[in-house]
Amino acid sequence: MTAAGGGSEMTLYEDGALVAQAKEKREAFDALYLKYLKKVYTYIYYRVGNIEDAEDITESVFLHALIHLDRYQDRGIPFSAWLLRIAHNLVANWHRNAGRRRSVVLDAADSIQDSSPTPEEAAESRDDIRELREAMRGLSAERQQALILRFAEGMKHREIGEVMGKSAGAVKVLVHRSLAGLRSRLSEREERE
Amino acid sequence: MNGTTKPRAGRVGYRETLWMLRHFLVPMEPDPVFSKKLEELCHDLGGDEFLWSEWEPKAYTSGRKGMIIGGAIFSALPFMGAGAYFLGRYLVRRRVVPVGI
Repeated sequence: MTAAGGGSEMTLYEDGALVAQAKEKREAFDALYLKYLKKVYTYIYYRVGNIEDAEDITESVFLHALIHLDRYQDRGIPFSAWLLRIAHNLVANWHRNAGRRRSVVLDAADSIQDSSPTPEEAAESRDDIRELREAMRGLSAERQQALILRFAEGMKHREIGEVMGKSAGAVKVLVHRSLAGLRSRLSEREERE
Repeated sequence: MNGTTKPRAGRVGYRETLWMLRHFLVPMEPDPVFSKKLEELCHDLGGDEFLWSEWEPKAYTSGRKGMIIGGAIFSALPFMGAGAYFLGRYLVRRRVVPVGI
């Protein structure tokens, strides 16, 4: 299979064409899959905090999208936003069910590629990562979503708004409040230690 | 802030929070084995037109929509009738009838 321009920028028009093609012939879905796998996986991974569940949910998102592709209509909402909305809903279901299980262990810190020059700095980075992830988990789902889309996905306020169904201005305020909330949580942790 | 070194302070500030988010909240690369497996799964499912037509929900045609709306209206008719009857009775009872002068 040929990669559909993995990291390259593709226009909304190209997305629309890919979706139309996939509606006609489902095998064409591969191109959309290759293009958005990393984005969807990143979002889910940061929301659930472990690799196994992130893979399970990512699989569900793409199968769901494949099955319900006909329901997607290009009405100004990009395909990526549609996928992320599916991901968000499935993650919400997962959290609802996970509430009955014990809390998840964050294995995220170990999987980050660390560029720290010394082992001490590397260890410190790992602690910081763990600290950040734990503080993030204390935020509301909406705030976590805003921060992940903004920083991990590098999306613009307008693009985040398309996923969350909010205006760019509302997203800007939400990101700002989320940052403030995260900062106060990190401060509390620091003071406790 | 030059963006490469973490600003250190006793209390975690806005800049430090932002620094942590920018440096530790990075895009994640899924396991190549997993992505290959899922890619094949999508490809196989996509190619299976029979399975596909079985799974696909029936499209909402305008005729079907009309049937649903019509059904809902007809189902509601007895309740609407009863509601109108009791409302009518209530209004008749409230009507002031002058008796004598």
